[in-house]
Amino acid sequence: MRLIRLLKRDLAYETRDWVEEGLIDRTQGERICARYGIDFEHPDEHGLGYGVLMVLGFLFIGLSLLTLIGANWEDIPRWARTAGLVLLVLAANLRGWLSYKEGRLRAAIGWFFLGSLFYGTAIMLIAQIYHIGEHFPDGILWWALGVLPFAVLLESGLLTVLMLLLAYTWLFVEAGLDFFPLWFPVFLAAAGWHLYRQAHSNLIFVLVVAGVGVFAEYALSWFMLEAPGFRVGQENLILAGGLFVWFLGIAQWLTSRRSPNLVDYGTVLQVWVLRFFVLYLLFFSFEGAWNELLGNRWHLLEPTLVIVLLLNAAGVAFTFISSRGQLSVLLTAMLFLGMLGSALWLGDERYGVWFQVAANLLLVGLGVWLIIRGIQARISHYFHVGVTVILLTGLLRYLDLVGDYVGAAILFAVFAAILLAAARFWKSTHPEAAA
Amino acid sequence: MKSDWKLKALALAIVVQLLVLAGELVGANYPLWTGQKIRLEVQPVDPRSLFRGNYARLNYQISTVKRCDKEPDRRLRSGEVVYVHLQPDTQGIMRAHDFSVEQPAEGAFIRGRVIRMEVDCPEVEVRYGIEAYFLPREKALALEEELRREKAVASVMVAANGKAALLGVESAAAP
Repeated sequence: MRLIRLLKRDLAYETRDWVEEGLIDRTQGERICARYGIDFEHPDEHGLGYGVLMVLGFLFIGLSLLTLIGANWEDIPRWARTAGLVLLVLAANLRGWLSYKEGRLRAAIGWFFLGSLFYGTAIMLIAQIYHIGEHFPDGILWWALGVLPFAVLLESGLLTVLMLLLAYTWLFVEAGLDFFPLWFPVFLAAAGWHLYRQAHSNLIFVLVVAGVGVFAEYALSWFMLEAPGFRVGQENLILAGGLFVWFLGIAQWLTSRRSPNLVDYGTVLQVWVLRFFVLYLLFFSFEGAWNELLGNRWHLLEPTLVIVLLLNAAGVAFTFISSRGQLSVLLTAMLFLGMLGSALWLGDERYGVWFQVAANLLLVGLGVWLIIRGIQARISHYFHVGVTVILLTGLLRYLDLVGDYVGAAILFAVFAAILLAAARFWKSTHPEAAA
Repeated sequence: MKSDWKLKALALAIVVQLLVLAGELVGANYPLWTGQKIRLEVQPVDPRSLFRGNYARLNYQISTVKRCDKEPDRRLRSGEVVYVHLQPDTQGIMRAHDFSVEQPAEGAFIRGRVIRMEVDCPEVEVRYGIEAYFLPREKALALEEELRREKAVASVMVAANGKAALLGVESAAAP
């Protein structure tokens, strides 16, 4: 995994400089760019500067309208306000339609983006004009649904991001009011379609993957508890672990594909899954988290366990299909299921501190592995995450002791022993490091 | 020139957006066009929402309906439609006296959605879609100040199916 994949536009510019300076010839430059799926001649094929300025301009027009929401412009008659809003939506969209008809796709997307902002503002302002307040998340849902066809038909990243941001806002507002966000998968599917059409966007990919996880957790929370709403239970914690192994397997599979886009998505997924895993382990480095699992306060254990086992199996299967990272994913799945199984088997909060110690040792072990792997494979991200993990674990245990002071001191001594042993191992395998 | 079907589909998407706005307008105007005017006791509070602007949030006397003398058929879910039965008091202000899941065949009623339900002594908290009274911040604060001194009454139009639309809020002493 090379994170340079995520900076490939910069790489293309660098390559052109190398060619100009005579460090490499043009054919080599083109081959380097081709390896990362970017055009040597036109690395900035999207006219980034122009596009960003246009979008920001449109965004501020939309913001200026949204500010009107605060003004409550009640001096203008109702019919005039309503007609003005509808005409604004119609005018921007018609302009977009005409641009599209003339073959000017970027201009069309810009106009439809503005039209979508007007449309959402119109929904909110009409609700304001008529004092409608039955269930305001519906307004956000209708807004997102109105953007969806434009995002799909125009295959536009900008409109897809707008649709997803609205869908996420609706999800959290709807869930916050204890309603089930049934429409959310439709938006994820539309964004998934956008990615499937080979339109490359790491942002949309991350939003889709995160959306799958959030929706799965919310759905579990909804079905698990009698009272509706997003209330995190122990089942949510183990589902998060299952999703992690599944995503890890998918990341390995994606990086084994031939398409540069899929390799990029795999790389992004690996980066985010690693960060998620670190956060997950840090959460379980506290005794309270284990006490939750050991306390036998399950609501929907068996179905959740089946889902978690299937996710683990699918994650491992993906790595075997792709012939990449089988051992690391298999070990991660076994470790996760082993700890989960032990917690379920023991089922007694008195063992919480033992699991906490195991999680802390695992964190330091992960940190050491990341540092060594980062240096060996020249992946700076691994190295930095490894150092961060060890420092954070030390800080957290200093603030939140394991057992008493003596227990914490013993744990710190074990941390030191692991780190020094790793350093000696490094020195023995790389004699030049001793010089 | 772009493909014909996509042009048609984009035009349809524009029409869908306009239909959504038209639906919102018709829904908002239906009680105003067809409804009967009733008066409800109300208490305003002043919040602000990113998506909605400044408004006085109205808490009605009928927002909570309690019937300790009645056995509930089942626990009503959050978001479920409920009909609240109304009766006028001596001042002509409507008071809630019962609720049902089925639309009443006769008598005054208003349609709302359940927010919360207590089963032991059946009590439902209901929203009718008339809880937000949008005003510029200064006017909202002035109204709140005025109504702190005197009892407030909201004028509401209620359609035949129970759907309500808010006309305005005033002091109960106002003619």
